[in-house]
Amino acid sequence: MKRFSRREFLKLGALGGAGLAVPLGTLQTARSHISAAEAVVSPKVEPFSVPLPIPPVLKPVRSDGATDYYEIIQKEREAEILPGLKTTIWGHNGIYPGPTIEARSGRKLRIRQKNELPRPVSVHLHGGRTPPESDGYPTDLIRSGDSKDYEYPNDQRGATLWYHDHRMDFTGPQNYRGLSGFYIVRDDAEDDLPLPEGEKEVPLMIADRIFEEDGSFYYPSIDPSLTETPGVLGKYMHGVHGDTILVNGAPWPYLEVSNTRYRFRILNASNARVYDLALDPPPSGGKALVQVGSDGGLLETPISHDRIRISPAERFDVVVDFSRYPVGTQVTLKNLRGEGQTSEIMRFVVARKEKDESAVPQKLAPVGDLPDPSKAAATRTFEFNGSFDFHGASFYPMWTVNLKYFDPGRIDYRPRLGSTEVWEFESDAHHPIHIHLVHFRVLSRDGKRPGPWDAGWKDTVLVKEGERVRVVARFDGYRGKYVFHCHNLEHEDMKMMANFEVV
Amino acid sequence: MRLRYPAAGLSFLAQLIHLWVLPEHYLMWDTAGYFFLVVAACQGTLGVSLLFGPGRWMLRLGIFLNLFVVFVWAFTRTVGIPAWVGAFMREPVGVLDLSATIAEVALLVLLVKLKRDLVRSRM
Repeated sequence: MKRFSRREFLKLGALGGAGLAVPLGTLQTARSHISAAEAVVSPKVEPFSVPLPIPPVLKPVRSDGATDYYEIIQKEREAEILPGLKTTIWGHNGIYPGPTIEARSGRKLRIRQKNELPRPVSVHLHGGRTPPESDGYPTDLIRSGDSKDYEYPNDQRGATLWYHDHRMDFTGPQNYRGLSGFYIVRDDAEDDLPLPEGEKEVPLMIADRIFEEDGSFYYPSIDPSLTETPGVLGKYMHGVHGDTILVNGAPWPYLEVSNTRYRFRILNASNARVYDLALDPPPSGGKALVQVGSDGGLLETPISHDRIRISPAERFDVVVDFSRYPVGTQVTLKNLRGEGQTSEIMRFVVARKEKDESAVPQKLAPVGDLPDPSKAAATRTFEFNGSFDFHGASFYPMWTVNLKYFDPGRIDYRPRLGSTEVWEFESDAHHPIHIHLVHFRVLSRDGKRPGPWDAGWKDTVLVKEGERVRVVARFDGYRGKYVFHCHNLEHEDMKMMANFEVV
Repeated sequence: MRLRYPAAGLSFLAQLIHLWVLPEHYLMWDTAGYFFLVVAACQGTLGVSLLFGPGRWMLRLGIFLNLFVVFVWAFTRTVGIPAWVGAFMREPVGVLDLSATIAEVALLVLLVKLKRDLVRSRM
């Protein structure tokens, strides 16, 4: 038997160490990180034990004849989201959801956003017809310690908009930490309607989150410092889905209601989760959810639904008539797509009788001058594709629009100011697609009529796997550079975005 | 053959950098992580061999390995990482990857010289 010399022994040991043990050990650290991520489960919360919070309405710091002026400070604060635990949030004015801003159609509003957070931010008014310098372009950043004035002309119909962070590469984690709030534009047409108002007009921001044992948010960033590398652990490529459902920042809350009509401005502010909303039990006769508005404001006529599918960033303005339930009934807002605890969202407790003077008229509001697809100056097709799985081969895991990754320096399309265009979206997975600046009408899904949830003016539309959705939009308002993108925020951060410049 | 010690140092430096970035790449895309694992393991093996007196085959393999790694680096920084037919993601040039590449190019030069010296010494 051959005996090893000391030199050979040393060489073998060094080869084993440098060639095997050290590399494999390093790989193991990464694997442990993934195992730890997969093991995170939010602390248990008793559903329907917390009352529904309503975000405060922000008051202007001053007003003049034409403009209302607001100031918001984005800062880190601790909040009690899960009972008994502290969560560090990033919030507008330190709260999540941020304060609600109420604007008047046709009246200018200027917001000074100060960033006291440790990372840059950019604020996008989602659904706003906004000049490019105030649109929250992903690289138009407010650095830590700096401020920026955003000017919103509100030259648009009354509608439920929302503001949220739009920082290049890190929109997902920054929204997840709490950087979003409602922005409601009101107009005369809406004021003239007898829809429920005051305390009976309730904004509902639905979002899902994962929490660590100590109550902190868990977000599977590759780079949790949010400085260098965008994106999430491979397992979350399709989006981060939380196991805890929050409404207005509270887990599975309840709301006591009277046996009257309530108007709910529902926003899906989740990073990636699509919900199928329904009431349980349904009232006799069904059709509990009467949709009066969409992303772009009131519909022409109400539409009654048994359920509503809402994808990230979409809004549905819905009236529920609780007089169809006996007093004492507990009505759960369910998510028919969910499993286990994600199948429930919140609860309404019909607690008292009350006189109801509201109504849902059969004629709501004029929808304005619709763009005519037969006069479209261009028809463009956009493929929204993942790029990491092609015939079973594993490629670089990013998301593309027309096989291109987002590049802020590249203008992909140039619609002319005032022109009408038909855009066709094709998709390899579920992608909620959002176009900045414009509102659009859904023309068809796979060549057939639009779906039951496509009515009205939209700024975000869910394109399902393998589906082709045609929309028509008029590119008016402002010249300049804007983006359109998938509003699954993990897809967006991983490059599923493109530029268009209105010329 | 004194050149083999700086060559070993460069090989270990390249290994160290690949190990440093391995976890981040693995978390994002396991294929990339395995690529860095193989490169780091090979650089480590090459480094140890250089310390103990490499044979001609080891030098030849070291040259091919470093040529390949430098080529992959240049390709991903100019054309991009192939993601799908027609889609390439161009990686930015960073301090770490540039340092590794400089080390690998210098290592290549030393490996070629070492191989020539070895061939001459055996003639």
